[in-house]
Amino acid sequence: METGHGSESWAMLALPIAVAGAWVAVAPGGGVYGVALGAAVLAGWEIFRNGALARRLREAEAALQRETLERREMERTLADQKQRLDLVIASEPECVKLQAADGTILDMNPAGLAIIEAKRREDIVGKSAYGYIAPEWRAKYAEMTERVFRGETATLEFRLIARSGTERWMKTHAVPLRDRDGAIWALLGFTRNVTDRRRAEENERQHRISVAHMQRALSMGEMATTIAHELNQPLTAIVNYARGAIRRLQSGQGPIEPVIDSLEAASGEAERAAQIIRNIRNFLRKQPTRQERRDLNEVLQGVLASPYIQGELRRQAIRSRVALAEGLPAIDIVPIEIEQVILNLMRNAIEAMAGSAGRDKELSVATRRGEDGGVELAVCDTGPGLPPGKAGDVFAPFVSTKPDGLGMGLAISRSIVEAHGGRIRVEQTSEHGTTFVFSLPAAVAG
Amino acid sequence: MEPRSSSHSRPPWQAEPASGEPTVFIVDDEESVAESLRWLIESVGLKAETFSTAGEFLARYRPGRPGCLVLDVRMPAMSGLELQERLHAQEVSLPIIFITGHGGVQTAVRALKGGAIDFIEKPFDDQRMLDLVHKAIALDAEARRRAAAQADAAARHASLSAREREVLDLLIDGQTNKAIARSLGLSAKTVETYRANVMQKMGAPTVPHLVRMVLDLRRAGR
Repeated sequence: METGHGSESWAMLALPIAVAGAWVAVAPGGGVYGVALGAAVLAGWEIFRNGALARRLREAEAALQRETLERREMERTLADQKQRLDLVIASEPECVKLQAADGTILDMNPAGLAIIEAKRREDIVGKSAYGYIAPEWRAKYAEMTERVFRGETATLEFRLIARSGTERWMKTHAVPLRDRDGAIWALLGFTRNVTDRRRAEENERQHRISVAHMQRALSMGEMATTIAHELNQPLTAIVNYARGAIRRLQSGQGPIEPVIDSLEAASGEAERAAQIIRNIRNFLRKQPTRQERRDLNEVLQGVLASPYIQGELRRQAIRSRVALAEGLPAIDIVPIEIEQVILNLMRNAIEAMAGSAGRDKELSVATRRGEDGGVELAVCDTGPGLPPGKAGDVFAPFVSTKPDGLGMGLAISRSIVEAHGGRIRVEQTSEHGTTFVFSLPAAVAG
Repeated sequence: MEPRSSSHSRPPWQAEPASGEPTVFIVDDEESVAESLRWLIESVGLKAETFSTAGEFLARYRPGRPGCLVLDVRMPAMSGLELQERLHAQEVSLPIIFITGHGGVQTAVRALKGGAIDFIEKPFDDQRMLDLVHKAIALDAEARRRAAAQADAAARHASLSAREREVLDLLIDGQTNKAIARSLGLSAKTVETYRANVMQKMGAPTVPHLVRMVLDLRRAGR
């Protein structure tokens, strides 16, 4: 600011001259001097005045210059910042968009355009976002937009339909964007493609279901012997009754009533065989793999009534005791999976007792209310108990206490129970038997 | 059928030869199978009785009753194979036909090694079952006839005096009357008398017949 200092020093010089002039002018007898002095004063004043003006001018000019520089500086900074922001937004892998309250897209970054499969910004801007949202998600999306325009932040996972028709799972996080006056003028949304994660989750779920199905199929293979045996009983009886009746009728001797009785017995046996087949079919049917609201007691009774369990209990002379708790809360389960868990535990219990000849064989199953308000199911055998120190390991994959066990039953059971938000454990094991318990949370009301 | 009170086990050769008509004893835990099989067997005029467990059969069967066993392999508590072993241990020689819901080679081998007549899968051909039952009953009758003859021979043998038995043993060895008289220090005439008594007491028409009877007895461990 050298110029500033210069004008300052001029002003400082003008002031004493003016003061001196004024003093001379008022001094007595100073005619000529007076004029001279007056001129001098005037001159001094003029000089002073000019100096001040120049100073002011210079000051103004400096300020202007300063302002210009600052402005340029600011503009440059702003431009830098904008460029940086643009770069960030442009290179942001998530979709970033501005959207109006009615769903009109105000702006969108390249990542967003790519997700929607639009080539240019112009293809999208001005269009409604709803055109790219799967119909069943539009209401939820509108609800989210409304919340943001009320000043909240919101998150939503929805299905997006790209221009080609490809469907993608998106997760959006939206915040309100306000103008200077605080009015919300746009929704700023950050939206991520979560298709891979959703797909992975879905795959994982499908995998679990297919493992359950596979295990069921495997068990069915093992069960085939039992089932063949079950079916052979009524078939044998039918053949015997029929052949016995034919022989009597051919001989033409003897009363007719016993023959009629035998044919009725045969048709009863045929009905029994049909029932066994129906049970197997019901059991094997590819059941819904969706969650359903069910009653644990009913699921348990379904498994208990299965031909395999009934056949094995009879064949191995195992008594069964069932204690069903009343008033249990409903549970949200994938029925086939929980059936598989119950079946696995029962098969283990039956197999545990297979070797214990001469012992009292009893399979007891009980349902009860869990401590956390959920439900529990206990399967108890009178087998020889788990080997010491094994109680903790039995749920690990490929750990089996059976000579020909795969070691997958309990591992699968645990993953199923845990996927349902429950727990499975060995409640007790001794030389008098073992109790396995699993718990499931109560269904959420609604 | 009512349980018989006198069920003390006696060796089969002491069984009364004709204790009633042959009966097919059916042991199967499946009531419908047992009952329908009885219906089939009775259709050819045979007598049949059903039992729902091996234990029930052991408790009710009076050894000596002729016939055969139709036995289910897989049953709760005591299996058909276990019953076969138990009967073997008790020297009850009823012929056994095994029936099974599903064939297992090992089980079949074990059953047949244990002396079973046959091992057939349910459901079975009625004619095959009836043929097997007839065959089993015939085998049992033959075995009983032989056992009865043997029991008779044993009883006759037991009635011989010590001296008569000495004469018999030497006779079986193929010695002549003269040689026997010499080794026992008797006269040939006396030996002749003993020999006639032995033949008469044993009920043997000829010496070769006598030899066969005694050899049969020895083979049976008498």
